[in-house]
Amino acid sequence: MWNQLKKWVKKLTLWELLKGLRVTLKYGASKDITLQYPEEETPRSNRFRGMLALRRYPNGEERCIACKLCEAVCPACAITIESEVRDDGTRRTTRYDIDVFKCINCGLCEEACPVDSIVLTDEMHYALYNRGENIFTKEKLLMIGDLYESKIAEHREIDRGTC
Amino acid sequence: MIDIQINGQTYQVLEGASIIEAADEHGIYIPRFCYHKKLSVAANCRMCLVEVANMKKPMPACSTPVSPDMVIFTQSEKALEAQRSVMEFLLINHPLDCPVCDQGGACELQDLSIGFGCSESDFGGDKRAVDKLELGPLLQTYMTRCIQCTRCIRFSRELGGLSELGMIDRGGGEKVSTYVERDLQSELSGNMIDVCPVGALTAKPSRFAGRSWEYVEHEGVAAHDCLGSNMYWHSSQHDNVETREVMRVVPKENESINECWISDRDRFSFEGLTHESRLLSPMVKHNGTWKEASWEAALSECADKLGSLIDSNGGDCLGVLAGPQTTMEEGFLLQKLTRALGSKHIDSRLREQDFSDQACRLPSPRLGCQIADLDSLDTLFFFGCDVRTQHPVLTTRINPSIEEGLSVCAMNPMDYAYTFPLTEQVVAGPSALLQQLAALVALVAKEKGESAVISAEKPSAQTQAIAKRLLNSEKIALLMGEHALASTHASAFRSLLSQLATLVGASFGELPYGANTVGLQYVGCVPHRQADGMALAEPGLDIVGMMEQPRRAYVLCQLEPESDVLQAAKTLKTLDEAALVICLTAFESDAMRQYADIMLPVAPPSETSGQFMNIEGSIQSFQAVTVPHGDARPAWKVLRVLANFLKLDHFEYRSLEAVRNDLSVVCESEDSVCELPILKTLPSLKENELIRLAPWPMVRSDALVRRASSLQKTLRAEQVSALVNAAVASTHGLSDGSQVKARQGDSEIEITLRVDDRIPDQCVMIPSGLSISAGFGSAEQAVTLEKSNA
Repeated sequence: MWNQLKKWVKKLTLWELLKGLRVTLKYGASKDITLQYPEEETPRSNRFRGMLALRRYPNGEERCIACKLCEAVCPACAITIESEVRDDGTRRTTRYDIDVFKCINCGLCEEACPVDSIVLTDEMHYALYNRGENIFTKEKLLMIGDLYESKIAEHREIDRGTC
Repeated sequence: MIDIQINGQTYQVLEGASIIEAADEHGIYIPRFCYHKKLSVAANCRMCLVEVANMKKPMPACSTPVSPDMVIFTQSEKALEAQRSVMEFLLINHPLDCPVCDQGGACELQDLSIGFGCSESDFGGDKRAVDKLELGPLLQTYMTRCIQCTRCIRFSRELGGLSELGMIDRGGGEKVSTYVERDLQSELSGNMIDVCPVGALTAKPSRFAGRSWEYVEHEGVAAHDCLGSNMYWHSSQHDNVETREVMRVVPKENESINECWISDRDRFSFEGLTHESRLLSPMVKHNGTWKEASWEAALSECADKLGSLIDSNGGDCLGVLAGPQTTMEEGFLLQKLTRALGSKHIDSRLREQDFSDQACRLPSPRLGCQIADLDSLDTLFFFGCDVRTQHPVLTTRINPSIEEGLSVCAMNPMDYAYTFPLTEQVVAGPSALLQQLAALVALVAKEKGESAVISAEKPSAQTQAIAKRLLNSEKIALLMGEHALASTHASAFRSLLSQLATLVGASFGELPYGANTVGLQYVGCVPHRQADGMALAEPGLDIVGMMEQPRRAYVLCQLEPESDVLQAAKTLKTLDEAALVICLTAFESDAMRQYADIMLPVAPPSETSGQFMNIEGSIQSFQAVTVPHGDARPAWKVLRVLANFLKLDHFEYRSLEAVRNDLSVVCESEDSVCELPILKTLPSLKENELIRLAPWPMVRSDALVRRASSLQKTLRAEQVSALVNAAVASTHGLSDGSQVKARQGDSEIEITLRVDDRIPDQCVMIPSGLSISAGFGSAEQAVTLEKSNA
């Protein structure tokens, strides 16, 4: 008798349906987590490894000293450097090419760099439309560095002293 | 031999050896900075401290001799602690600039700080900085990095023989210095880069060009002197052969030749490889204008012109000259080609002009002993040899031997600035030199109780002293140098010297110029012998004969006659008048554009494979390091294809190995005895003429080194001037620093005169190989000097 009553109540209140829709209803009632990419983006860590850049010192001097440690450590052999004695007697690159097709964004170059010159920015929105654009030259990398400098500096400031 | 125990193992070692030598012998590594096996022991870095049982303190392994039953621990806690502490002290003042240091990656301090140091320092003060030291165009210094090991100082004193560096100040201010700022004068200064354990001394020409870990190492043979020093070419771009370039050169150890040293010429000449005057494609001259041509067109032009000249005038109309960087294989093909075309006129002895005894000479010149034997001599006698500039590596054996009792005597046409003291020396002009040598032979013969074969003048006091020295020595080597070989009296010199060698029981040898002069004579690039060493009944014309009896056509392989031969003016004139001059060359020059008709670009030594024979007679082969620049090809390929174009038989070589095999079958090594004619009377000597001495400065000796820019900056003022002594200057009314005109027949140059009392009377030294003396006159011939009006 009791069981019959229970059955009817469940039938009349559409209990099974509600049970089936429990997860749906739960998420329907909670706050939205879907982002409308590309209009909206997920937040990224300050350590996100995106597009490569070469940095300068605040006085405008390029940081890179052509030590070639990044070239040596690069597991994908994506970096090509040529160096010379610049007129002021310092060691500088004449060529600093990164093939971003080869680059696996591992960040070892940034880790190896003794002067914080080569860095990975958190920029991930870039696309290449023409053959040859995959080679990021020194000029291009320095330009990216100039554009993102404030962000790069900010991100590194967060991590200062943690590693 | 005694027994010692190292790290619990018992070893047999030589008595008197130091701990570090004993450990090295058995492959046990002890860290070190100041110790170098070829240098004296300084024991000032203290890095090699090891624990010795029953000793309170750790002992420096480099200066502690082993004793019987010594118990040594190189890895014990006490030893490691001592090494860590020393390392910490060394790093106190060492800058942390490894990323910009050229030594980075090949640095002993880096390696040892990883292996034996600790990662933290207790030091908190300011690091010291040391002023820059300017050492010239070859060495870059960064003295803040110096750890005061004094290896460079000991090298320059003991092996370089010049003592150019020293330590000044004391304690924390101690630094390496030249005392008075000046460039290094040594021809071996580059070796200080190798001995420096840190980046205080690095190579200026290859500065900041690359890092040591990205270079690829290729074995090679030095291509500038007849010793055949072993070395490594370091090239860039290991993954792409096409774009490889030579970046630097370092020595390769070979105890029997160069130990672990090479001369600056061998080390820095690679800069010439990329000189703008490299010939990059075949060039053909039509009506006085040069045009680039394809290989096919250029070679068929060669074949047509050469073929038609030979058809109309016979093979006799062809003369062939080979420069000393031509490999043995190339020389073999060149003589085969020449003889197949019916000519006997081929020569490779560019810097000789007296060939009267050629039939009696050895098939190729020899040192008379092994290079390593020079270490253990009693007396070394140089005749007309500037060993310091011509064979710098030999002085690394002579300089240290002086301390061990070697005495060096010399008879020279000028007082050469040797790096070692001479026991006795005769300095005289060419004819007086011959008389003194004859007097020496006569004197020695008399003392030995043999009848004198030659009547000579009274020997001078120095000659008598040399005779005494030779008579009282056991192990003696007589060496005839490049000046004596270049002399017009070379055969007389050679005959007298070999008589002298027999009388005193000495070895007698020659030191010719050039990397492969020996090998080329061996494979038959001489007019009087074939490739198999058989003498020709009727020899062809030698280099002098070819110019006196001009040929219609000439083939020049890897030489620049204006700067590379003794009779430059006559050679240029003859070539200008010849109907056809084909140059196989790596570099072009203005003069070459004048006399040549076809220029074929061939590969210099780093871009071709081949073999060189050194003065000991050992054949050393090497591989190409890079592909030839531009359209250049290895000369052996060019000669092979040229022979095909000329439709000659037996030139179907498919590889260099095939040429090499043929060569080794044809040119059998023969142990012929050199029986030189015994000189009975001295050749007639001219008096009262001013004779031109014409040595080649070290950095002007061949086409490649003449184009090495850093080496050119080492030329000193006295090396580019005419030198006379004060007496000659005053009789000619000339003063130091004035411009003079030197004239020989039609050729004339203007050059600065310097008064230098190292030059004997009746002589003027006008260097060869300079751009101002290119194409000027002949060596060892009379020259007139007059004041320039300008």
